[in-house]
Amino acid sequence: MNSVPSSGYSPGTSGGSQANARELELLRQVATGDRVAFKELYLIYHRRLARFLMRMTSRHDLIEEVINDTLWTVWLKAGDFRGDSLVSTWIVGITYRRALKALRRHGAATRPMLVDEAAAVAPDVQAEDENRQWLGQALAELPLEQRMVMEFSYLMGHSCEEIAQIMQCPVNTVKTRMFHAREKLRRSLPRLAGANK
Amino acid sequence: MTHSDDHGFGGGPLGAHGECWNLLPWIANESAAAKDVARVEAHLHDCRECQQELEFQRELRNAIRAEDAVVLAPQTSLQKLMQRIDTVEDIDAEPEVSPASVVAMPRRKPSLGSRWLPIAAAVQGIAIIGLLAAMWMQTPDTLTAPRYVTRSASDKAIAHRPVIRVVFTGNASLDDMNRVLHSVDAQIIAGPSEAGVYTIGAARFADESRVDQALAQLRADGHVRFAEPADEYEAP
Repeated sequence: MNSVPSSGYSPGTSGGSQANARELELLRQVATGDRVAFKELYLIYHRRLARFLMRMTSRHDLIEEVINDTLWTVWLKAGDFRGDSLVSTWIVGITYRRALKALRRHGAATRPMLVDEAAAVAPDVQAEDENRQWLGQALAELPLEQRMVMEFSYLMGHSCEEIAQIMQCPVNTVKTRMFHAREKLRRSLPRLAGANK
Repeated sequence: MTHSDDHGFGGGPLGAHGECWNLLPWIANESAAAKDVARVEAHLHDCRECQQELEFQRELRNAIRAEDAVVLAPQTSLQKLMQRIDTVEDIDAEPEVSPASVVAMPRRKPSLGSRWLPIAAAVQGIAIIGLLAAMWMQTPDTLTAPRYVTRSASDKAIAHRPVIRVVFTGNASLDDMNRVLHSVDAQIIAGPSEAGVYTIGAARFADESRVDQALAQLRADGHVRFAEPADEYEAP
């Protein structure tokens, strides 16, 4: 059913092509109804997707819903995966679209509480690193699509081409969104930007 | 400093500097193709502006990755999803599966963990029959009233719309089921199946967002154990 994709990079994992090959094998097993393989794939992606969704939606109540809807689709469509992209690109793309739908349904959210969120999780760490506060606020002010390009790149480790597949837009659109995001962050984060001048 | 004019976003063509500058985020996250890496490295050797920008992008990446959002424990979520899969596989195993389903997957055997479903469905069925009998004995006319027929009869207007499969909880009464159906303005098209599954539809389900709304509403209802679209499709 599946063919191994030519690209060897697997974002968010240290094993690169080995990680993608393993995920592809798991996907093959899932397509035959292998629940053990499905659970392994679920656990591989749960933390990654939860972090991403928390940053994208700022809503705990949507995380489980979107993750399970995503992996539900993976369970149903594993046999249809053609290997045209990395497994991670496919799964993150489903997650992104599911999250957009969920936000439309429940009301769009930005990330206004990232500073409080960081304080609630780790007050000592937050107090030691003021740049995080600035960064959280600066990211929150970006339009969703620009922020997502930044998150896909730096949180998830995706390439420009992979982000274009995930967001279903041309590569140049990704570059343009990144361009504007970089410019805005540079203006919003003079301390971070100036630290290396 | 601004790069707008220099990098072609104001309408001019990209020069070597602009192309390299645009690639820097993917140099910073180490996902750029080898040929791009070589090109950028050659340019970086002589361009202090790009060197500084790359350093800034690396700072950004490190800062973003350092933020650790609260992450839920996966086991509870996984358990819920496996229960959902069990239920749907019971539906797929039945001969009277709705033709509206376009789910493309290998046939999978129903799990051992879901054998209780037919029993629960039988118990619920008996309860519903009892309620119907009681209603008939008390007010037989209501059984022929249009309102009841509307909730359960097939309707040509919704025959080709997306449908939703619903399993009610074991303690859901007929009134509860009616209330749930009213709340999403839907009708029963088929069911209950052996597994206790009802297929419901509504004219407004032609609009995908309305299906999503109905699903969210059904899943939030305490008398609904399971609600799933029957024609879900996600292009791989």
